[in-house]
Amino acid sequence: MKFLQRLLHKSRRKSPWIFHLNTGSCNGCDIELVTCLSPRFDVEQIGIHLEGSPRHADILCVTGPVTRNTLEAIKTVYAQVCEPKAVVACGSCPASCNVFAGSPVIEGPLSKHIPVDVYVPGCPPHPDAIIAGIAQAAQILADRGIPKTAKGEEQS
Amino acid sequence: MILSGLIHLFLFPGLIFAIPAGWFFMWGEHKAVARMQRRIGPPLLQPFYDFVKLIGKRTPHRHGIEADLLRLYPTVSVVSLLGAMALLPVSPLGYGFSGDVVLLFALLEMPSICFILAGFTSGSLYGEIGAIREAVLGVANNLVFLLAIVTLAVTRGTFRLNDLAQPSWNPGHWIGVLGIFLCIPAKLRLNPFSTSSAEQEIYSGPLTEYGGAALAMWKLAHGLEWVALTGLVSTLILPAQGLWWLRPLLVFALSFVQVMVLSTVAAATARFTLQRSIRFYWQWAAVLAVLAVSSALYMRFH
Amino acid sequence: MNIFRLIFDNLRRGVVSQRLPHQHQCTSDEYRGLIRNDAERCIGCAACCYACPTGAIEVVRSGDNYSWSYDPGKCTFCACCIARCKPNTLTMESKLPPLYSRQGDLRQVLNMVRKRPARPAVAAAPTPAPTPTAATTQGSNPPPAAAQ
Repeated sequence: MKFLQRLLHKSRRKSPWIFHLNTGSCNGCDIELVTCLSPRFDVEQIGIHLEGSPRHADILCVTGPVTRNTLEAIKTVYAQVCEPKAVVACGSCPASCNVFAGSPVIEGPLSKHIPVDVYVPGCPPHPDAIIAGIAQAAQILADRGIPKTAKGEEQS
Repeated sequence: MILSGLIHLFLFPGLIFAIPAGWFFMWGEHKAVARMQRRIGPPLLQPFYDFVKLIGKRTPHRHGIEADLLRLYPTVSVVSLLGAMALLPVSPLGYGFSGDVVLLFALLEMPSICFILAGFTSGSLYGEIGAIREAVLGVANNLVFLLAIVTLAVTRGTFRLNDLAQPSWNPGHWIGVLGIFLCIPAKLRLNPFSTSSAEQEIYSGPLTEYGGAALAMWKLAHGLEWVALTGLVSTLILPAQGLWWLRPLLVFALSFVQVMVLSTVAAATARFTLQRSIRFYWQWAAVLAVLAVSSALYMRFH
Repeated sequence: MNIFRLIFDNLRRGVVSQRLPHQHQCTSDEYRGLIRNDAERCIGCAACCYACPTGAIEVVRSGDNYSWSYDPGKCTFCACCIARCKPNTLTMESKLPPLYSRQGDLRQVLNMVRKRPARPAVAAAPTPAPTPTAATTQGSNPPPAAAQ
C-alpha cells in the first residue's frame, strides 16, 4: 500500500494538467501563460498539459481581477475541477486587483471566492515564474492527496 | 486451444502487452510531434503517470446525468479493444483465436459508437456537437473501411484473419490494406480528421463531462486503438514465415513506423472541416468501390 | 509541400527549448523586478506614493517617523515611482520575483526617521530685496495666459 501511495504521489506531481480561466484580464498574463506551451519554454517536458475542460484538469490557472460577470463562472468552474485540486493566481490582478481596485464592477481579490494556493507576482509574470508556480502547485496538490495518517480515513 | 486463447487474450497481444504498448505509442506520437516543432516533448513514462493520476481523482457527484451509464462506455471500449487485440493474427501459424475480419471490424467499431453515445449521454452541448461530428465522420470512414475489407476478402477468397495474414502480391490485397491505413487517422481522431474531439473549439467534445477514472479509461482506449489499428495493418503486410519470435517483433516495429508516419501527417496538417473530411473519404470510397467490384468480377470470370 | 520541408528543417536544426527544471535566471539586466528602497538615503518625500497608480507603495508619517511599505502583490512594475524619486534611492531588481502563498506575504515595510538637512550657520543679515518700480509697467499688457 505504501508503494501505491508513493506512486500516486509521484504521478500527481509529474502530471499537472491545467485549465486556464480568464476572469476579465487584460490578456497580458494569458499571453504569457500560453507562451509556456511554445517551443521556447515547452512545459510538456514536465507533464503540463493545457486541457479543454475543467473536469480534466488538476490545477486552475486564474488570470484577471474578478469582474462581476465572471463570478458565477469562477464558482462553477472551481466546482467542476475534480479533487485533489490547486489554484494558481497568475499576475497581480487576482492577488489585489492591481489598478482596478475600487471599481464597482470588480469583485475583489480571488481569495474572497476560492482558496488560492500559489500566487505568481508580476504584471505580467515571466513564463518561467508561471512554470515554477504550476510546479509548486503540483507539489501542493500531491501532498494534499496523501491520506491523513492519524485516525482520519480520508482516501486519496 | 483454450490455453493459447487465454494467452492471446491476457498475455500477448492481449492485456499485459497491449496496455504498455498503447502507452508507448501515445508517447511516441507526442514525442514525434514535439520534435517536429523543435520542442523536447514528454518523458517516456508520461502516459503512465497520467493514467495513475486520473485513476486517483475523486469525481464530484452530479445529478441529472446517468453517471453509471457514462462510466460504462469507456469500459466497453477498453474491453472490446482488448478483444480486438487478441484477435490480431500476430502469429498466424495456428496459434490463438482464428477469428474473421468482420468480427475484428465490429470490435474496432465499438469505441467509436461508445464515443458517440457518451457525447449524447453527457448532457452537454459540446458533447452533442462532438458526437454528431463523430457519427458523421464514422459513416464516412466506415464506408472506406468496409470496402477495403470486402476488397481483401474478395481477392483472397476468405474472411479468416489467419489466411489473410499470409501476404500475397495480389494488387487487390494491397489496395485493401491501403484503404484500412487511410481510415486510421479518422478512427484515432488525429489531425486532419480531429474535428470530433476538437480541443478549445468544443471543449473536448464528448469527453467534456468526463473526469477521473472514466477519463483514464478513455485515454487507455485511445492507446489501445493505436496498437490495434496499426497492428492490423502490420499483420496484413508482413510475411508469415520465419522464427516464431521474429514476426511479433517485426509487427511491433512496423506499427511504430506507422505511428511515426501518422504523427508526421498530424503535425503537418490542420483540422479539416466535416464537409472536407467526408469529401475526402467518399472520393476514395468511389475508387475502392470500383476496384472491389472489378476484382470481384475478375475473380468470378477467371 | 512546404510544411514537410519545414518539418525536416526543424528535425535537422534540433530542439530550441530550455531544459526544465533549470536553475539559472533567464532575465536580462533591464528586467522589471521588485522595487528596492535604500533606507540610508530615503528622505520620506512620498513622491513614489503619489506616483504609484495601484497604491502598492504607502508612506505613513507621524512626526519625524515614517514607514515606507511596498506590496509586490499590488505592483504593476511600471517604474513610475523610480521616475519620480528625487534622491534616486528606489531601484528595480533584475531577477524574477519569488512565488508566495498568502496575500501580503512579500510586503516589505521600512521604518525610517526623516533626516533633516543641516542648515549652514547664519553669517550676516540678508540684504533687502529691491522693490518693483512703476516704470516697468508700460501700456496695458494683457494678463499672462493661465498655465496649460
